[in-house]
Amino acid sequence: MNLILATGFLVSRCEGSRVTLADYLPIGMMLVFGIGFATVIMWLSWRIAPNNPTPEKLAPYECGIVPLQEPVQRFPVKFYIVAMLFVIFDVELVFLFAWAVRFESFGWAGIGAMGIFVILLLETLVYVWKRGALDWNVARRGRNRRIVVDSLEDAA
Amino acid sequence: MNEIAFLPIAAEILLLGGAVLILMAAVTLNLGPRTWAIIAGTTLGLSFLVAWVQWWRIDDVGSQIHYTGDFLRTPMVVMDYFSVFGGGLVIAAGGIALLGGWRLVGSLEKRGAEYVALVLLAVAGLHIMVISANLILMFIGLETASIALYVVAGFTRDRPDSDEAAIKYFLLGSFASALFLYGIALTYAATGSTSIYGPTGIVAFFAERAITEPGVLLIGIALMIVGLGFKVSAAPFHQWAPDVYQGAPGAAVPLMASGVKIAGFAAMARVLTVAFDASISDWAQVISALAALSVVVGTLFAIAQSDFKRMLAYSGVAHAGFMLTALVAGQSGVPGLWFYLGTYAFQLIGTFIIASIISGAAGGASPLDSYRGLAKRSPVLAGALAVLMLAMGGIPLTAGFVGKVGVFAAAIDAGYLWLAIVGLVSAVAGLFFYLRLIVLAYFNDPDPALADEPITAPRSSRLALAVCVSFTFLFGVLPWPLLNLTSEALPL
Amino acid sequence: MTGWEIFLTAAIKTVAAFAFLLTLTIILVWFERKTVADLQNRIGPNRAGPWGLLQTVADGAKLLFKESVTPRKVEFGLYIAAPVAALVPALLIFLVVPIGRPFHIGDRLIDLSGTDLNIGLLYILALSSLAVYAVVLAGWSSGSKYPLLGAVRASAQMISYEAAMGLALVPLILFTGTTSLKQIVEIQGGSFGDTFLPAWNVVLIPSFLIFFIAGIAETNRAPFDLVEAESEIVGGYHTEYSGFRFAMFFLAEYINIFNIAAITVTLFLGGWHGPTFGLGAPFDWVLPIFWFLAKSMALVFVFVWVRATLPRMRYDQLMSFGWKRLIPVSLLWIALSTLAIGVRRMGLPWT
Repeated sequence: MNLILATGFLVSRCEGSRVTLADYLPIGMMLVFGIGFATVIMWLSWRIAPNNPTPEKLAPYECGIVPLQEPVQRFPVKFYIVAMLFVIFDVELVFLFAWAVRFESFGWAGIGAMGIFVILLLETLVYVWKRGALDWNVARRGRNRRIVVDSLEDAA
Repeated sequence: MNEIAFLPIAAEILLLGGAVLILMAAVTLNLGPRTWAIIAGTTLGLSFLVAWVQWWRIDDVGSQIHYTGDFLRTPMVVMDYFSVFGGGLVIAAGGIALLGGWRLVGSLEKRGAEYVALVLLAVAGLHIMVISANLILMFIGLETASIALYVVAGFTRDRPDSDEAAIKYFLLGSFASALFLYGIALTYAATGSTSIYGPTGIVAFFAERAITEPGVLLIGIALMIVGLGFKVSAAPFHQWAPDVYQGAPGAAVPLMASGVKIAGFAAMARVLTVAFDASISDWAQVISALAALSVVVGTLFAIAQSDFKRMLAYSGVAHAGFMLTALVAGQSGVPGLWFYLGTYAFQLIGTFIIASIISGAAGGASPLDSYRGLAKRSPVLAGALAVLMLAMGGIPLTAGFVGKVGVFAAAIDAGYLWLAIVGLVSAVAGLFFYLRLIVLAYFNDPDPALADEPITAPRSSRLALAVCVSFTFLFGVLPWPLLNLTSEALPL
Repeated sequence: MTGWEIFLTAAIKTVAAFAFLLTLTIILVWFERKTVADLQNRIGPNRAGPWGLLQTVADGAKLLFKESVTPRKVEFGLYIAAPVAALVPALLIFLVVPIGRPFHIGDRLIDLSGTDLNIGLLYILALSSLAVYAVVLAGWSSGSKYPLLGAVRASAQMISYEAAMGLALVPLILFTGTTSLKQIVEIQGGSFGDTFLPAWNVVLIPSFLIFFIAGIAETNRAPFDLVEAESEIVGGYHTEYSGFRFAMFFLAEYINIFNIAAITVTLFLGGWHGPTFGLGAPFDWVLPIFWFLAKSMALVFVFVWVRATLPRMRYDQLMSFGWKRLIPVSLLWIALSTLAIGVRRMGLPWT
């Protein structure tokens, strides 16, 4: 009942604007519904499924052998670079979307401004690319290739 | 909306384009430091030229505010004598600092392009701080410059103290930026605007009504003072300066020390003396307290230092105090502030160039002992050092003296006699450590281990140093041209 | 509409969407197994129910009765939250997809979608980024080696392709001038000029291809299923999950496949538009739903087809394909389409 009153409240507050908070009501419901479903079914599974833990069963998976070391805690810095690049492009995207919806009202000046903006970001990509931050194949990168090739030649 | 005024932001466009070109030239065409130098020099030269064009333009049509947003109501950029002078000063300081530290670029190999590009971006950010008519834009400029300089501080990443400097600068700097931003938010809450000028700006707001409950506004102003005070290293927000100046690559320190001070003080002058002119009785007391604290703390700590760069950092705190002294007079203190900034920036760049010649472009510690007997090892360098030290100490016939006179006069006119006396006493006490260097250089024998080692300075450093020293000397003997210029360079 | 009616409509739509997605998953899993079996000259599931249709139900029931092992080094709170975090965004995305023509009840017009947001495309992108959290949380909280590796790989992969996915949508927004899925579908009604060709947005072919490829990568499906490359990192991020906790990841994956197919159909292939042959009620709203489902299933078939045909990519190939091919191509395509649409709508810049 309270929910219904709240819905009415939301609608009345947003009267006049084209978008109402009531548009988000199904999303809120599905959120509750999804979490509720997941909780209930996992609880159910926990109730009806057997539970016979043994030390071997509870060990972290290591293809059947006893794990010798903790999982790695440090990652190649490239993952962080990818994350940073993603942030750059996602921010670009936010601006592009906002502009694209109404690009006609900004005219050619808007297209020019957006072009400069995109070129600046493209430059980031080109720079990172050329500096080898996007090369995941170690042997392909300049200095390392030399090392790999040299060691191969030494072996030969 | 369709008319974009390009003249006020021409310098930023040029600097940004230069940075992009350098990066692209380095990675796609594999062009070396010579090309970067040509591009960087051209961009900085052209943007300095833009400052002249802007000045003539203002002579013709007067100061201009450039708007954006719906119905062109939000002022973003202001083109007045103040911003043109400050912008030109930032570009000149950036150019000479880059020139003086060019030796570092060669030693960085490919990363040198990044270094040059970052310096150009930092200069662009500082320029934005000077010309902005909107607090948000000012913040963006501040962040652009700061982030570029954080990276520059850690550029020689194989040295642990460089990493330490970068991290310290980054953490404390972002804290200060956050405070500045919060100050903007509170100002917005109190006045309903982040613009300084314009029909809905802060100035118009104060002209129309009096604030009855100034609590939020005062906290906002205080936070902005803290944020900018950090950037110009005024006490008690100065703790980062010695570590950063000592740890950062020696060749990069001149820009970090001088450029940020210029832009920081320009922003402070714009915010306090223009936007919050109405509440000058409130903030002037805070500024005077900061000024007194800065000169005293800076002088006392500088005396105790045994490292040249740390000493310069603390003396920089004292100098920030002197400049704050001019600011208590409100807008009438701006010419004094400009003259002091304009001359001090070049003294600072010059001394740091000397430090980077003595202890290496990559930087690190520069103990005072390594200046022992400098006159015997390199008379020219010792002479330059002596001129710069005398100027920093405020000895007559150098620019430093004229600057200090202007600053104290402004404070006395505004009724802050006690502040002038505190400053005067500290200036005299400060002479101790400036003269100590001259004594070390001229009346001591060099370290026997270093005596035979020649001091080599590349042509770029020598050129930049010559410019700095001649500026200092010239404006000490003939200060009038610069004085005339600064007396015109008032904010709108 | 009154508060009551809005609440009731929302509730019905939510429950219907939820039931629809669960049923669909059951069919999709069966569909994929059958199709892959056909493509590989096998028979596939054929015991449970007619044509093995109930196989998925049986599997689900089995997983429900299976022990959910909680390994020793697990961070339990996040470990248990991860499957939920995988499932919920998948359910939420579907809500904005219109599955049929709006119809009248009395004088009220009811949209056949959970809701119509004016920021629909942003909502989709935002929720599909949330899916990364589930993977990272699962991998990190498992306290085990392979899940962690799988999670880090997956997050890098998903965010890489998400950038391309978003960029592919820019020309579409330029073209349609809206980010609301309902309006995007409405624009695609009718045909080009006098031809019989439907006016679908698929004329933006590069956008369509990039979006769909990035969609395959977003859902971690073959040939981009590095995340669970069993030859290298066992099951990837869900190695340490069993019982119904694993089933939730499974459920989320299939719902996501359908979501990508449905969104691609909505954005590029005309959504629920299709010939209704002038049959009148009730066919004028039953047939659109059929067309929508048919097109979506066709794309799901492409998913399966690709999986059965292409071998898995190497990780460096995957990353360079994303960053060095898809993103530059989509930027170029944005430039081209902006110029083309700009000239078409506003004339040449110098006139």
